[in-house]
Amino acid sequence: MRVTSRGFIVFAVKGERYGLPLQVVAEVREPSRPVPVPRAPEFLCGAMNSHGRLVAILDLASLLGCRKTTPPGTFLVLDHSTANLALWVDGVEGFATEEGEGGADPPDNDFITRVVQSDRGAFKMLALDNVLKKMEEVFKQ
Amino acid sequence: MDMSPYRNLFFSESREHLRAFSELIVKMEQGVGSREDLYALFRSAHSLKGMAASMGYGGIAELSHSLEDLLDRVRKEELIFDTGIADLLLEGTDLLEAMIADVSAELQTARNIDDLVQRLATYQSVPSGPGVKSPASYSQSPAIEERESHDDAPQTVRVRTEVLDNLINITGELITNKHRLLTVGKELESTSLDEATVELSRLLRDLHSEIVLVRLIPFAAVADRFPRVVRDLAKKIGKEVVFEMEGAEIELDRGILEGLVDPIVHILRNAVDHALEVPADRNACGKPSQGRIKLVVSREKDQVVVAVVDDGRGMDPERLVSHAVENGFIGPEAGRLMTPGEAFMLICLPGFSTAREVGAVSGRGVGMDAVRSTIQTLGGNMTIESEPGKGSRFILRLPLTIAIINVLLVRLSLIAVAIPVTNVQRTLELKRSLIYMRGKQALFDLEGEQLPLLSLNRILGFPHGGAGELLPLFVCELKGRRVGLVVDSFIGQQEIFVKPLGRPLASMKGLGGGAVLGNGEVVFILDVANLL
Repeated sequence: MRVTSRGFIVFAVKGERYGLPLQVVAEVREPSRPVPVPRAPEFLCGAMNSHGRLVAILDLASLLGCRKTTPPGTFLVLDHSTANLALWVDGVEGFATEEGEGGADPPDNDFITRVVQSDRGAFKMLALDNVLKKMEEVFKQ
Repeated sequence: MDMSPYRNLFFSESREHLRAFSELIVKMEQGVGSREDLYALFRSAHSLKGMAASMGYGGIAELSHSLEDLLDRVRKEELIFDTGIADLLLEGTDLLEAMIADVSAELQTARNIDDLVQRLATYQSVPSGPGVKSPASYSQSPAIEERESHDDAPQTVRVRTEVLDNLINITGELITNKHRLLTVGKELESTSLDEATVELSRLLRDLHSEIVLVRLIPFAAVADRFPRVVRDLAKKIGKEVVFEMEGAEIELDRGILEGLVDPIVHILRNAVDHALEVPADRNACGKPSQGRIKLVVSREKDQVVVAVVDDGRGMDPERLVSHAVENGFIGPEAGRLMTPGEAFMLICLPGFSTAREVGAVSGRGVGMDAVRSTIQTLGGNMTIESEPGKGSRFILRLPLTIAIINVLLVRLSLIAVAIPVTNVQRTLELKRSLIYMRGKQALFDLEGEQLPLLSLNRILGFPHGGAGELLPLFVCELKGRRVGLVVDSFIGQQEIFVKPLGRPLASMKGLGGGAVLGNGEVVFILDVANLL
């Protein structure tokens, strides 16, 4: 598939469909056993060595207020210019392109920027910056 | 022509010019500048003007031109370099820095330069007085003709710092993978694989040494701001200070150097504000009116030592101890056992202040805890020497490179963690029978001192660990107090390659970095100073 700036990766978390721009995801990989992180809040499963980077693993379902992700699931490793972070999600559906301009208004949730209509149907665009800010806020406590 | 590719080059070069500019201005004002320094100032203003004009930054070019004109009048001996000129040039430097920052941030701020340009153009020197040097008296070097400094410069290239970071990261990964190959070689009992791995080890050692060297930059890269810090503060509070610097050519890791600036600025400001007496007091005890502050950088084996030395009023260890006991920082028994060196370190306790006057300049003596914490985070340590009436010496010892550090590896209930050896005062195994309680706090005695006993598992939120008769522990300082931290077992001491945690783990309190051991195991490096 041709990767464009309008391309997205769509994944599932507890039956809901979420998406991220393709350019922020570096790799989709099978989960490996994470190393426990000192003082980790519940949503942080641990960390792993990903090609020389120490990457934190976020249980996205737990952060979004759902029950914890059920193994095995999939790791979405983010590009290093975005964060040293992998999202643990239930599974990846595939790539999608946006249909038409804009999207529906954002739902009342800080972790979602908007609802995108795509060739794979509608999905919620994850507000990655807010996710990171929330994690950092909790880590500093 | 599209100049955008040259923007970053302009920003880095113009900032270098301005840093050198400030240092030279202070040097000239103190009367220790040479005619060559004056020419260097002139050349910097001239270069900045040309660079800004070619980029289309009219305001920056105009202000640089005015600075150049004023310096030209000094060069032609129409003016003498006095304090008024130094003030104007420094004001111009600050304004140029702000304008460059605006352009860099793509802000459309229109800063008013007219008033300063006018004052630069119409400046007239005040009659000669103390501290003012006539142009004829500048020391002359053998070749004083104006020349571009890069004529005989060695061949160099500019490399973005993230490229250097990537290089050291890849090198660290190669070293980790070499350890894996060694393990595989042993398992397979393959002589040819062992030989190849040994050769790989040698090449990696050479590569690592070269990469570490590339990351080293001279202390001078950050040092040019220090004379200005001392000068501005001394002037503000009416003190006379001679500032000297030695060893600015000593090189150390870029990461360490960047982290060192704030602690050194803080120690310098404290020295000017609190350590040095006002001229009348100095004269009364037989000292010259001008106080002296010296910043000395030197190499000792694989460490860089930075010392800030002043000839001020010094500190009295007994007074520090009694202040600490009176205010409940330490118990009377601990105070009685303190050496002078330990007593001086009391000023690093949060909230400890012995400043005679509560000045607005260095706060209330606060901040030395932050200084020590930063130095420890950089893998270094700080000691203080002082003599009442004679002065003080703050000594910072830092590793040459931040990328590879020596750690104590310990096993906890769920993971292994690394503690920089600079944070470990000693290790021991304690018999359970020697532990006693005061309230809910477990204590043990070490060399006549009562130390609190804490569980590192508990501090890090891990389950309770082993329950043997002997408790392995290491002694370190937490929040200014010596404590014993119990672990499950000691793995040993080794050098590790530090990986920065990045976003978001870097925000996690108490973690200073991570590393991958030769067996592929991930460990976290504890930031002991911020563990609690």
